Amino acid sequence: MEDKDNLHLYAKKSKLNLVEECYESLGWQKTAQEENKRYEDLVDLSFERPHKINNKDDLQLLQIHMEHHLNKLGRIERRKYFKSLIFGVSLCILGLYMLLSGVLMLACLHYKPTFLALGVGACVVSLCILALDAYIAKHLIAKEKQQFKEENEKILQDLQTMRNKAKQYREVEDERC
Amino acid sequence: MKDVNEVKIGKVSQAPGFDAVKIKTEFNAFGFMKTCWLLLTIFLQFVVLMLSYMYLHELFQWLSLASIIISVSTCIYVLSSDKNGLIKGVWIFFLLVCFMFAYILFFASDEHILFVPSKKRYKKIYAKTDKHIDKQLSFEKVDKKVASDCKYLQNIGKFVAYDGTRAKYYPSGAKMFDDVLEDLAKAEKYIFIEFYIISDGVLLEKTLKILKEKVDQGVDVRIIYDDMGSYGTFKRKTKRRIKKMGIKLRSYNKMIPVFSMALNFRDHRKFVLVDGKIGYTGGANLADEYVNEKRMHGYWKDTAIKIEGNAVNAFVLAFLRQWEFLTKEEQDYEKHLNLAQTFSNKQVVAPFVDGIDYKPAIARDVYINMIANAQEKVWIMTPYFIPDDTILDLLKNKARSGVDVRIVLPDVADKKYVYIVSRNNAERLLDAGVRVFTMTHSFVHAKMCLTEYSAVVGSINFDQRSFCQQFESGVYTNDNQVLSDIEKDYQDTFAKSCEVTVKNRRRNKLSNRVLAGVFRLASPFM
Repeated sequence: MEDKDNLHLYAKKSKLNLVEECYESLGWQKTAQEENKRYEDLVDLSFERPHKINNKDDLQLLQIHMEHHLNKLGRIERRKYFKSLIFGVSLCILGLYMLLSGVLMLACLHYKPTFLALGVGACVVSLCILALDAYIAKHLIAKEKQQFKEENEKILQDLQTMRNKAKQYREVEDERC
Repeated sequence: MKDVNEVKIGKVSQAPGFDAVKIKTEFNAFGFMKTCWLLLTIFLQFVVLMLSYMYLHELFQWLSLASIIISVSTCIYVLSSDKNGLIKGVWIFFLLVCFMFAYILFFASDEHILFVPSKKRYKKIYAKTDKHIDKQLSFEKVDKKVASDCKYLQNIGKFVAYDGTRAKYYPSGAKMFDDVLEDLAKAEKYIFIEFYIISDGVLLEKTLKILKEKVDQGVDVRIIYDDMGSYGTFKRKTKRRIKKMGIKLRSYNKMIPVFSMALNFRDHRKFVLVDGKIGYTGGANLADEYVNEKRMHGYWKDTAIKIEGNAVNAFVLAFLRQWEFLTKEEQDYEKHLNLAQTFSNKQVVAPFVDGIDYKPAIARDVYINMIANAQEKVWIMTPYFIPDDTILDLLKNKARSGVDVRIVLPDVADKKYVYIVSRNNAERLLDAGVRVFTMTHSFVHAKMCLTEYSAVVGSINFDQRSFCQQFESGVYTNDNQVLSDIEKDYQDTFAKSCEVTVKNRRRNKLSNRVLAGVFRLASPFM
């Protein structure tokens, strides 16, 4: 009976096809797929491949590189609008705080002209901040979307190159010892 | 029929922080807890001892004065000792800063005091078994530099060079263990195995399956493992199972929960010896991560060498001496030596070992001699680069003289504090023209040095632990095929690595230099 290597891993459901393609290009054959017991967005996968395979060392290193790229893909997707979110939320909080302060000043201290003016000013500034926030966030989101698209394409291209390389390794015999 | 609105209790919708894919690795919780408990116990003992001693200083004024005098005297002793500059510097720093108790630590760890009984026993064993050492090869037709390196090995450690021995280089642990398992299955007389780390896992199970068959066939199977290296990963249940199979198992320097500097001295050798005819050594231990069966620190890059022929005698002798030391039983050396055939190969193969029983530091000096004699290239591969200033200066001078000096380090760290110092040491050499590479997404565990005329492959890191505190093994050779294979592997590795330059080195950051400086205080123990 041929000696087989086994591999068990967790994969994100949204990346399942890509993960399977990558591992299959490295010579792994899927033997099992199960729903993860803890997380709904994960699956448990099992693979096997012959222990003796051409250029195994290169394939193992390539596997590490592929996993790195797959995880990078997942990471940039998770953090797609990270900067715009942080920026937007921070400015929004500032704007709301200013608005709340202005409204409070108008409601409680309107009998004093200074606070009346401050209250109105705060409300105006807060509205400006909120408008600016919406405007900048929209542009940031568009920019991040574009950046994500470019990075995503590059990683997918790199993964394709690696899959081709893996197929080449499997077909060619290892010349080293 | 299931209600689609049924709440799934216990299941979370999204795995937090999960990117795309993760290899399932079994977390050895029991081993982790056991290690933590041991470290905590030892640390607490150390703290209690130090606090007690400091309290005594408060009670007895004269003790402080006595401590200062003893510390200064110890500094003078250290300065006049034959320790290397780095170790001297670190100890003098501690002796002056922590004058109240540092001298106690120094004398508790000094090999002239700590290991006197052990060294006496080793000396006795060596004196008794030196007669089994083979005759030295004639160096008439051997390159002068090779002859000089081999003469050093013979003069200092009585390690002879052999011809008529075949050698084969392995660029990975996986390739080595594939052949190891095949050769173990063919054993007829004995199998001797010595590893720093033996871990439960797929590789160990495959090995034990074959060893059990061999024991049933009457083959003498013996295993030595280091207790610290295998702590928490080599389970007691497995050890009991191995002993039940009839395999003789011994641990080196048992880990006990008592504060002792002796715990620092380990058996770092890696041997697989079959019938006195075949011998393997290298960087790989008997654990799944060394063959990339288990994911730890990225891709695990290791190397090994196999020797066939009478050169295996040197390793068999070393193993049996260690076995005699551990068991206190006299061994039949004659029965286990001179069993190999002679091959037509005229290249030199010189296996050697090092340890606290040898003086001076043989492995370090072998590296120094090779680097000093090199005229064209010095290529080094090591996971930890913490040599003393002699080696650093030698490498700088070689690079400045036009020799192609390259160092390959890991990209992924297993111990961050060691990695910071290693990287910092390597980056200090960039200004002299040394080239430094880090193998991308990999942990380089290989220990190798290649020059244009020779190579060493073994278990010897470029650090103080390997040079001064551990038992090590290596093979020195000028075998053309081996040199060519090693060079090909290096070229392959360079292609898979990132080169560190003066512009992008981490040392450029002040924080990195400060951290490295602080961690370097622990260099003798790294």
